[in-house]
Amino acid sequence: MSLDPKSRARFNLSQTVVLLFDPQAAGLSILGEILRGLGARNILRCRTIEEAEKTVSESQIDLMIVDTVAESGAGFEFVRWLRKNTPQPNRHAPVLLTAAHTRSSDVSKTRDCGSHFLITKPLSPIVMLERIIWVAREGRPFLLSDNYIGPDRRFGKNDRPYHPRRRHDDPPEAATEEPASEPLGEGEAPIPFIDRPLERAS
Amino acid sequence: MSNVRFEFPKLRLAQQLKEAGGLAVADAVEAASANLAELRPACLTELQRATQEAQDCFNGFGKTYSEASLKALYAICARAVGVGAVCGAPQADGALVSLCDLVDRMMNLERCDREPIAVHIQTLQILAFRAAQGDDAAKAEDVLAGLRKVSARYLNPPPRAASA
Repeated sequence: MSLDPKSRARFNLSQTVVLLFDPQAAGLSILGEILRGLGARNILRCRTIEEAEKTVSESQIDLMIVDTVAESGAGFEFVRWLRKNTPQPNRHAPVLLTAAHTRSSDVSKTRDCGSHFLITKPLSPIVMLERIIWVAREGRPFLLSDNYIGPDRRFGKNDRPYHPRRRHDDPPEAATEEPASEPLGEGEAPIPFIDRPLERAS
Repeated sequence: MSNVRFEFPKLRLAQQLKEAGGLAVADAVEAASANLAELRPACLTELQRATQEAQDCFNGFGKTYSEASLKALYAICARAVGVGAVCGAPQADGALVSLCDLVDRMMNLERCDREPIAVHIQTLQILAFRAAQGDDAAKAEDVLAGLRKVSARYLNPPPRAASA
């Protein structure tokens, strides 16, 4: 499953409440501008864990994009707290982690904290959109055990999200050099694979 | 015995994405890219600031191994990853990640060799300077490959006698 950046398929994030957490002002701006470009209007920006926890306690969040905070691992702790200590529906909210770098000692935290997916920086709009659509797909069970609370980490082999494409793979001038797109026809379908259920791991 | 159970949540996000209206993928990606272009000056400033901070931090390194010093340098570099791509210097992100790898591996080995760090910071300075000049540093891939080789040496570390 890969999303063509020139696709005319439609998606709608205008009603989605998105929580962004990144302690770095520049990182938060980059994330915010990507989400704004993708059509999100309800963006809650947090620069501290305390702010993020307060926001989760007060609002129903549909999507969380959380920086791991490479030097402290605070993002992992936040996700762990979310899965363990918050009631539904926020406990089940899709969480995308963003990471500048993952220390070798933190690899297991990445796997075990309860997030849906890790995106490595630098971020690009198309990769962010692909991952958002991927985590929204129906059918992924949520697992609760003594040692792990979060989405089932087992995938069917056809459900692994595509090759890792990064920002510098997108030619920055390409969009402006393209001829204007055809106007969208009436009834243009939404992105088709949103509806495709996830394949259970065998 | 571990207590395991499954829940099957209905995600509001799944329904929202399919709502009428919204954006075409191509338009959304273009709009997001245009938004990022507006951040270019701020990200360039951030890259220059991080490069200077890394240099200052490195200048303060003592002659013996200090985990605190390496942690400080790691934090400076990790925080800046991602701004290079926005300000037209994606190779700077590559150099920062390579430096993070290097410092992480040095901490694992409890050693601190100055030259590999110095060459990373010098490269960052050049890349930040070239980004400020509007040079897209297209030929920096070879340099980046060299930096990655330097970092990779610390996966299978050289004998201590070879260190500075």
